[in-house]
Amino acid sequence: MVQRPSSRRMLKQEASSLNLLPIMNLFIVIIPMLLSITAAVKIAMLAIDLQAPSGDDNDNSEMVEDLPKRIDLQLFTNRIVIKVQDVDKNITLYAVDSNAVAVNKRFNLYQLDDELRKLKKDNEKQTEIGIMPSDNIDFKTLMLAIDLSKQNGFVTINYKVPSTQYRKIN
Amino acid sequence: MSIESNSIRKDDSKRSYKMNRKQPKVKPLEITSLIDILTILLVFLIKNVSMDSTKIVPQGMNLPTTISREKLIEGGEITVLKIYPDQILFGSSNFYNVGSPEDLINDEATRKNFLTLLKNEAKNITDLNDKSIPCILIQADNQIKCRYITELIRISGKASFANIYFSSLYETDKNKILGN
Repeated sequence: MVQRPSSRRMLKQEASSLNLLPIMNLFIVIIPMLLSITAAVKIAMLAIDLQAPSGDDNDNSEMVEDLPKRIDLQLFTNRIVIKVQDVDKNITLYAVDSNAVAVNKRFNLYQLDDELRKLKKDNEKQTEIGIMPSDNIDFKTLMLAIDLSKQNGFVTINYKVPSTQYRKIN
Repeated sequence: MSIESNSIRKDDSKRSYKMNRKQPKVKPLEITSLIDILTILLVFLIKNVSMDSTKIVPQGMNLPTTISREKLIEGGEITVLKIYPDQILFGSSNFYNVGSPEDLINDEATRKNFLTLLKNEAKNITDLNDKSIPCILIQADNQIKCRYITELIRISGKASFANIYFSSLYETDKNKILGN
């Protein structure tokens, strides 16, 4: 005797769909939170090196010849001077507008960029540059000089600290 | 009258029943594609989110903008120097007021105290971990004169902080920085 299938079997199983509502709720919370904490500005860091003490190089006369020429960038309020070792003539970039507060208005920074690019082309081995800011130069000018130097392949910045002597005033 | 109305009502109910049966079933909202987009967006945001930068930006200071950026030396332990026109703050988690930039130039005692603080900080860093390298991150306002920066660097060098970093805002557009 054949029995008919049980009523339970006869029931059509409804396709259970994945409940996405909790995931949706989670997304709705997380995405605005992430969007709000994402930093709008990015902080950069620029490294400099302190000037190494110069040693006695009498014994290394052969090595000195192979060394690339030393390049120094001197920053003044009214001019920027680029000094290259063993080159008599310095490159001087005079201020376009000495009274301007903003450095990009005071100096033609495109010109400085070009000069540094040319220097790098002439001294491919040189990756170091010395920067000596005068006392009254603002921090922004110094940073731009460092930035342009790094952009043009002078990755090691040697911050030249002028020696200072303090005297007691009676 | 009542019989008639009853019959009409019955007819109406039948009609409405038939109409209901003919209506198509309401389809469920297809949100799978939306979920896909949200998942991609979520992964993208999680990858790109950086919470460190928001911590570093000092309040009330206009940092200069640069095109270049560098990573901290491996094993570097940062001590922050915040230079405001009227005060210099120094520290890593707790900040100490060292004095004003003018004091640093004119007052010998301020310079000595600052040097001692820096030496202690460098010693603490190396004592905690031999492999740690003491680094200084200088955050200064755009308008701060370089005479103060130079003096701070000189003192930092004396206190064994050989790695010095300057903090700036990162900008990818070169013309924005160089342009008039």
